[in-house]
Amino acid sequence: MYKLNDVRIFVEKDSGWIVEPRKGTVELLDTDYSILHTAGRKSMTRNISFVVFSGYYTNIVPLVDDSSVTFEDDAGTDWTVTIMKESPERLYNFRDYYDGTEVFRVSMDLMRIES
Amino acid sequence: MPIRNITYLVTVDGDSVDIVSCEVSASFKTFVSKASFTVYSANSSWLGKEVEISLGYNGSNTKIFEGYVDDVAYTRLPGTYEITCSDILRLAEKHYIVTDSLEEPWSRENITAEDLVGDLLEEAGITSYDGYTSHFTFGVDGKVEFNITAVSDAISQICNILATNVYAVNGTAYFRQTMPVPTGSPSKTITDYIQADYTYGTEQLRNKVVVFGKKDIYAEASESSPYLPTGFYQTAIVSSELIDSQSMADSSADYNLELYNKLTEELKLDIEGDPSIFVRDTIHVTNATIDMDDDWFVYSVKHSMDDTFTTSLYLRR
Repeated sequence: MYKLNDVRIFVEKDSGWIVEPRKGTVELLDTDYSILHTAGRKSMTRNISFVVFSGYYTNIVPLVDDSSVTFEDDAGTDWTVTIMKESPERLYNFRDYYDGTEVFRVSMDLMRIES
Repeated sequence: MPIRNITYLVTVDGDSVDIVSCEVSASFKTFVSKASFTVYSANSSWLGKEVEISLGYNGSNTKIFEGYVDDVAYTRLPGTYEITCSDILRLAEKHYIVTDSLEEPWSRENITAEDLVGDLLEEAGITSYDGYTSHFTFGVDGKVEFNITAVSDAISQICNILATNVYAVNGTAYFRQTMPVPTGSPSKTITDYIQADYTYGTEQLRNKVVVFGKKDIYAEASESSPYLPTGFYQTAIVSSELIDSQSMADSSADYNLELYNKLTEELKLDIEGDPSIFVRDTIHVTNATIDMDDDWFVYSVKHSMDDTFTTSLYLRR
């Protein structure tokens, strides 16, 4: 069950952890090869898309100001993340079923905080 | 395609720190060697603390800098700290010789050049020092005097007379007479490069040196140059009250003529990062495309590390 700081979220898409190594090419003239330098990697990132049926402003928006948020994935593993970007999209048709409740689809970029 | 993992060890006050990038530079003519590195976390207590920087590949690192933190500069955004450092000779640049009376300047008599430089460095708190035997004595005819001047400026005066250099390696200051020409067996051979730029010219050639010293002391030395029109002399002048004997003036003219009377051949070479090349080394460059198979003196070296590690060399012979 997916959760953000213990608030349940209904995930539609999950990229999994994206690992981007820092690599640079050194082009040597007059040789038939280049050299690849590996200088570690960037922090892992993850993109999730989920629907919030209620409590978007109360439970989700304040998380953006937290530098450290607990993200629990469907396997029940807790990760410490920071939210790099959060884009909401209001879903009006859902209001037919949840009268008076604002429903949002949220796309969120997470960055894993590693010690 | 060869793959190499860049590795480093940067310590501040003995604690290793994670860095984003770094740059270390040293030059034959520059008194103080500099280094800078970027980190995500730093604080003002780092100021004045000892810094060591080692770079390399796959965990095999070579120490390329030892010095002290000068500045900690924070940039918002992206929220990084730029740390600038200098080697121990920074103390000589910062320390002014000031006595409690303008009538009684800092002085020495009958002192060898190496001891004079050593005493000046000690004024700045630099005690780890190694001076070569110069066979030169200052203060023979009256005292050598310095007042209200930086230690580095005082030392520069001595170096300009004797065509010598003061530099620091791993926390020790050295006083040496090193000519910027390849000497002895090359420490390594370079075959591959990223960019090469070869120039030669007479702009810095001086085939006549004139020396003025105390009272009427005067000396000159000259040689005709095959690179200049016949009978034409480009002159360098050395003038200092510190020159108080005719023999010193004569030697100063000879040494400086040897230093300057040659064609300036320069090779600027960018290569894949090599932390084992240091300024004042002699290296061999061989490459058919640039028609090069020669020994060169390393005049300046700059190591830059971020996603890649490259070394920029400024070579002379």
